[in-house]
Amino acid sequence: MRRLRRPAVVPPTLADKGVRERDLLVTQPARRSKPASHWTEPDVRGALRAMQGWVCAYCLKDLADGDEVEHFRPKAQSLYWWLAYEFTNYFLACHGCNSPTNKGTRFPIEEGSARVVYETRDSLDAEGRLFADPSLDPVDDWFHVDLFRLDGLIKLEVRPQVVRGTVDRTRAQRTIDDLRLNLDPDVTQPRHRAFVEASKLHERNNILELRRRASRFQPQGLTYLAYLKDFLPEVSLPTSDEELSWFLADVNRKVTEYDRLCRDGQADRQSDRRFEEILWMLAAFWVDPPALDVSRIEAWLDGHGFIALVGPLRDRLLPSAMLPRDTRRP
Amino acid sequence: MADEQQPSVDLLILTSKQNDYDGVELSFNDVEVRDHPAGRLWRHATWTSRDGRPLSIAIAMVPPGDTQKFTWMVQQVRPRLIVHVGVAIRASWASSDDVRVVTKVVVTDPHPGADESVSLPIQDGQPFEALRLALAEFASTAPWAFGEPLRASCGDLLVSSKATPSDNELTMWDINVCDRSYGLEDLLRESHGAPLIVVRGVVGRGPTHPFVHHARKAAVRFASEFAVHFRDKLRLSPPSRPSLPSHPPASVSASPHANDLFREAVVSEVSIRGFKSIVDLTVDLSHNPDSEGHWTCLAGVNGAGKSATQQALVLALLGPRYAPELGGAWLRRMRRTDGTSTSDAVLRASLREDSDDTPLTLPITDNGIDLGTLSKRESISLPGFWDLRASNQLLLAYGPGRNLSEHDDNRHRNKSREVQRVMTLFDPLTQVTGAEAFLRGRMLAPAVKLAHQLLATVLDGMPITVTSSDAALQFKMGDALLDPVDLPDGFRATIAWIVDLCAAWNEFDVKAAATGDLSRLRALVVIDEIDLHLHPRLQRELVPRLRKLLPRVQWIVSTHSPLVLASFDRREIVMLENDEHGRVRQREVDRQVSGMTIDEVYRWLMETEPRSVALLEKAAAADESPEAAREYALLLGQSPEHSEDDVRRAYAARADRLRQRQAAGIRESTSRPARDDGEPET
Repeated sequence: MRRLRRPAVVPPTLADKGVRERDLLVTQPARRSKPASHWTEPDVRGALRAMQGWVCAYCLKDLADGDEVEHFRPKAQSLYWWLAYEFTNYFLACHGCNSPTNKGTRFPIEEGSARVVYETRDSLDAEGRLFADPSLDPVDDWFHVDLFRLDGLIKLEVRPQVVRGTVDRTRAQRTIDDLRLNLDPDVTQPRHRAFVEASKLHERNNILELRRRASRFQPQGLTYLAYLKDFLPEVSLPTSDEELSWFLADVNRKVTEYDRLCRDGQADRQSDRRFEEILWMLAAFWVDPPALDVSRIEAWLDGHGFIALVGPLRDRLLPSAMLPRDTRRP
Repeated sequence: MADEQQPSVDLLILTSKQNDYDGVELSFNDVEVRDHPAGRLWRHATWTSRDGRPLSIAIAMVPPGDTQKFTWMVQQVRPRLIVHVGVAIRASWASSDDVRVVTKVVVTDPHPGADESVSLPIQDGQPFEALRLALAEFASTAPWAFGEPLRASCGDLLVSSKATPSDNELTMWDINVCDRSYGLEDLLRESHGAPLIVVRGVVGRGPTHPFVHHARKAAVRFASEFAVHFRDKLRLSPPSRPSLPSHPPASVSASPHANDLFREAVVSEVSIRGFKSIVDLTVDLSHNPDSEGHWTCLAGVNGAGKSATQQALVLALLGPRYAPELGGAWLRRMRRTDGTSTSDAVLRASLREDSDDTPLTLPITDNGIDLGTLSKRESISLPGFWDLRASNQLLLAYGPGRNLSEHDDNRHRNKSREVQRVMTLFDPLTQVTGAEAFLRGRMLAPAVKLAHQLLATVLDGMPITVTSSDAALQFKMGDALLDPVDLPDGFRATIAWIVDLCAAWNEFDVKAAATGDLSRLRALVVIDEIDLHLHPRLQRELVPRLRKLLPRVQWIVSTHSPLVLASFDRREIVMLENDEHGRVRQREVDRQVSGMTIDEVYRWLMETEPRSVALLEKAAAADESPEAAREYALLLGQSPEHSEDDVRRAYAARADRLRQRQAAGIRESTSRPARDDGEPET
């Protein structure tokens, strides 16, 4: 798990259909068991991609082959149904992490802490949750990939600096345990492979690629980052600006590939949708860039011929401050 | 003398019973009786068709098997066309050496077993092509004189007018034309060149049914209409000529080729009751319009009923004539037994042609196959339907034991071809039918040509290449030339059925096979475990390749391979599973698997964890001891990109680094604090 910077935007689907649907959930409890899945729309996924690219928010697995929009606080009828259309409650996750064996609809809270319900929804921040939220908690200070365990296994561990007995430590440890981040072979195997890959890149002295892989937009980036820190302390770690530039270059390659598909007449609904997500993602970068700055993002979009495509989408992406809040008052 | 050679009547109607004789007579308004010196032997009628053309008709009664009278009658009246109305003249004539029956008209009682009229295919149309085409055209254009229009697909054999079974119970008519193997030349001599037609009408269940007369009347009127049509259309040459014109008039042959009933038929559904482990199951086999070719793929765990479904389908299609060849005791044993009681099995396959479904229902009871147990509604399955299906649809089935071996297998020699072609599905030790010719290089040239084309594309990209000579296929691996017997085992199971399919097609439709055009190959092919012994690469490509190569074959296959399953549209997949009582049921496939990875297909469709049990066991052991953990770590690091050596080297480098760090007194894994730059704001 790595720190994620959530863009300060509200996808139009959520501002529009989402708000309406949530109001319906408030008045019609029967709908809560099966809320309409507006969160799969390309604007929602695109905005999430601007936060995490194609990397699972929990296990850092590659999401190139598909992902799911995960509700951090479960949208279950008995839990946080009113957060079903809340952008800040979404992450992209792999099928494994979202499945009942790992996260599913679990959301443990501290013993003695009161579960927030709709009536007390304003006190959400005070809830004693036991899962780390990578977009809120300083998880980079909490977790590290330990490459030097005596048993040879490479595990995600809570940094020793995180003081025992504190809320932070409990939350970090609980997240690792409950999400099975060191147990599920689907999670641990890519991590071990990433270490071997890092070692090979190091052998070939391909430091540039090693730095690139340590980016937060790269799968298993945390393992590569640990490798850089532990084996190549003299090498600088990738900066946010670098991470975003590399990522934009990757995105451009994806779009070129899509162009080729269109030329060959092989584009299908799925690839069209992926392209649409990319455009929404670029729009989110434009509204609220995680690095670089608005003018440089704009220059990049212009230079790569995206302005005309992304411009209209940017205008529809509301900055999150503009979300109509009156419906949320009790 | 020349005058005597001319036909004296247009139509000779023969009956075998007094009832029918009287009934036919009553069907015409204008009947005059001519007495023969030997007695009142026939009557003469003139009938005017709807368009005003007169027809001269002779009506006679000829008892079953009385060939002498038949010949004599024909000589006396010299008809252009002979029809037989009734239930009795039939195989006894057909098998007689003296008189060869070409065609006959029968109004028959549908009670199972009451009539065993033989209907046989015309092998290659000559010279009956003319008659066949005339029938086809007539059926497709003439409004049926009996109430509703004749829905007709007509061809070699059959014209059918299928009304909804209702009060009057008139459900079906067919016209049978017997084939030339009955000695056409002889027959034409005997019947003075007049073709003979059998019209078989189905009426109620008993001989006393009030509508027998009704149906008989309809049969006669149909025959009369047809005779007018036939007379005008074909301008039959005088009976002295030994045969019919070998080529139909241009106007007839130019008419669109009317399809024979069941020639274009596909199986749209199979429903199974009380067969093997199946209590009650209906599987939709209809064509999915969104995909190329007509495929159905059965999937499910062992024992979920895949093979049972395929066997039931094949049995239902074989019908009461062929299925008993598999052995009555065997058939009875296939019925479902729960503890003490054995229920009757009912297998039904629906044949769909255009948009009409014809059910073929096969009940298996204590007495074996017993059509008599069918309810009234099901009784529409007549033996004739199965015969037609067999003559118009090539049915092939391959069980998991299909193979080629040099071992001579004589056990099924005495069985009919129909049954031999499906035998591997029922007897795992059987060779495919075409095996012997294939192995001994004695295949017929057209089959070799077809098989060569098919195999060249199917095996493309495999280490094996195929070449052919006139009568033999040869295979090459690298430079080494292989005889069929020396083929690698992995390829045999697939090559065996592909070659057999080509040989069977050549046997079934010589003309089409001779064109060498694979896209004309039409058959129903059932394959159990199509992926048998195949390398995953071929598993992945086999179905897409066959879709393109053989678009007109209907395939019903089963598989355990996720690669094969991913070749199908979700509507082509029939997922079978056992419910909590062990009964077979179908599970809905509500999403496409073709976009899923193999892991996902395993997990979602086949409900199997793709991780090896070996890995999971190591994971569990890793908690127990550091040695086991190290072993597990070694396992986790390996991948298609990383060999065991790579992983060992990486871990060794790590151990070195650890020693260095320990020497430098670094305890904690990460010595440096979290970086400052680019840290997202909180």
